[in-house]
Amino acid sequence: MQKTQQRGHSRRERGGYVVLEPDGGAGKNREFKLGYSDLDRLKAYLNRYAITFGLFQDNTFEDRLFPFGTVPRVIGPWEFDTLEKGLRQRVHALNLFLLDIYHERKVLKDKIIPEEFVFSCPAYLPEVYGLRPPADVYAHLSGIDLVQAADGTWYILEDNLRVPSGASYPLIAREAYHTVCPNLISDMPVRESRDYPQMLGRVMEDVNPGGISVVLSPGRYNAAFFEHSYLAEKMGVPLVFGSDLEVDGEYLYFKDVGGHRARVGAVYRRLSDEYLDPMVFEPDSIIGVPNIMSVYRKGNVSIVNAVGNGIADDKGIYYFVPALIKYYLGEEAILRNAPTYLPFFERDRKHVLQNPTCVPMFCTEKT
Amino acid sequence: MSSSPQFTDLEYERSADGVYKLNYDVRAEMDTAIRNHSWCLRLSLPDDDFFEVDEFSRYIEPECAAATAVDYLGQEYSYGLTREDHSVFRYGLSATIRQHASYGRRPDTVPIQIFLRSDRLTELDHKGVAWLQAFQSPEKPKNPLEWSIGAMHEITQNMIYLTGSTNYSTPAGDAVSQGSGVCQDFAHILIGLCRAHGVPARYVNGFLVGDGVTHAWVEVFVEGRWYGLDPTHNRLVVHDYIPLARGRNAEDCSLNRGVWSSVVQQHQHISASLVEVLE
Repeated sequence: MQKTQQRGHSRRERGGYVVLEPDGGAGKNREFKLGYSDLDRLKAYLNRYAITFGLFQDNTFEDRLFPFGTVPRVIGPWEFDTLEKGLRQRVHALNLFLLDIYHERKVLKDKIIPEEFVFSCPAYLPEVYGLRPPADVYAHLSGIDLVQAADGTWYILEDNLRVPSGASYPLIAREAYHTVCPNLISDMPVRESRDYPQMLGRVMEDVNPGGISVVLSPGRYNAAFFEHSYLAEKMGVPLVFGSDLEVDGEYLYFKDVGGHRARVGAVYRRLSDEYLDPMVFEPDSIIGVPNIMSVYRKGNVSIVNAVGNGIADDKGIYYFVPALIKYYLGEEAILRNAPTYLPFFERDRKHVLQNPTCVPMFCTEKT
Repeated sequence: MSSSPQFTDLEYERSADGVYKLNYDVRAEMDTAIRNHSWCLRLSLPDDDFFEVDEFSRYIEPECAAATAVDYLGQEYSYGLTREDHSVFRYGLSATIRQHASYGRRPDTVPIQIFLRSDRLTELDHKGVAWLQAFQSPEKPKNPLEWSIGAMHEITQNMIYLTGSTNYSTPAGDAVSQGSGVCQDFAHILIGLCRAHGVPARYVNGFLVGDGVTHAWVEVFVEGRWYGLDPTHNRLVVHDYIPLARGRNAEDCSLNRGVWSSVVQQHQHISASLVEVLE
């Protein structure tokens, strides 16, 4: 990817205003001024609507306001399109990797990745062998961290394909701009992002083998409980806890407070694999759904994201993602990994030893 | 290096052929009735090719619709949901089994490497690693099966069998440190030793002739085939053992799991009998 404009070019401050210039001010787009008073009103709006995240510290639970930088960061259309293309490519390759690594394992036979990076990884779950998720989709949604270097180059910092969190916050922020400074959005060619919940809902419908869709939350003490309830409400699906679901025979059901039962075909779960089913994973889990893995294995419910995805966003595998893109798609990676050296390989080991400031990375479970 | 190891001090001469009657019954008594009880039970014998099942029946009480599914190793299990109030949950199976070859198992479809990864229950502490180094003779490379048998002898010499000295979640390292344990611990230690030496090893839950409860032993993968080793009795498994569940460790092949939403005291009465019958 070519170097892009520097961040500073798209916004600057001038006499009580922040000035935003899409495309660095070079194109036909006009500049837009965001007054300091607008920024104050934005902050007040977000505080009033209590956009929070939970934090456990010293054994106490605290609901904190989400810290939010009110000055928008402008990403030009060309740059945005490249990022979108690069992210799609990456997720596509990672999804093919997951399908392969739990079935044929061609990537190991072809020695693209040394097999110990997979088999020694705690996130690689033999429990899902022989299980094919509906439509072969593993990474229904992914939270891929991007970072922009001082010279403007974007790098992939890490992949999150397990239970990515945080999609609701930019949606709410966008909502706040619409309310507080509506001209900002309507006067500028800003791309819509508020259809995220509808897109997620469509993804769930696409992989749903029959029944309703639900959002499964571990409970209100989860750091992202606000987000769970927000997305459920926006998608128009029930927000449920483990005890609201039951497996009976071949299917999963949602029990409502009136005692009615409805078959569930897709579960957007916001709890990690090890707590999902006490019959297969952590036996002491009380936030999961007993026997959900049995009906999942039979293809009678979709779990979003799929179980076992951790192997694809493992720190040890990250190093190989550009090679995976080449292997599965026959394409060069559009977005670069942050420069990474794996002392497992002689060449990288030499580099690390000769450059003491370079921090080595090991194949460990994500923290 | 010999590919057919000698088991001079092991019981192997007897013919493996035999007919067994198996009865397995578990009765869980709760001090208060429970309801909405989700359960998952191992009540199917595996499709091993060293034995055949002539007659088979199983039961779950209170009577309840049971669904079946297979796990990642292709092993069948039963699961279900008992809604009604019950203070006794009982299940079991009975079978007549005809053994016609020595104990053993063909390779499974899953990659063998998953039986080399250490886990919380089979991981050895420094004392276990010291054992390992002590009995490894560097001058004479051994067949992995001979090596595993040597490791089993080492366990027998260093451990005593003591009921109640460990619990269901005691890691191998802890059992080694205290020098005592039950069949589960002996199996976990042998698995830990074998994996550390690069021999794929796994846990087996099942039945042994004459035992009053279920028994645990180990399988090691050598030259394309799984062999059985019983570290509790210090012998190669040839006959008199019928497997019920296999997995990476005891937790992976627990015979029953249950979830309900009230606090109760539970007492389990387990009776397992495997008897050789004369035809």
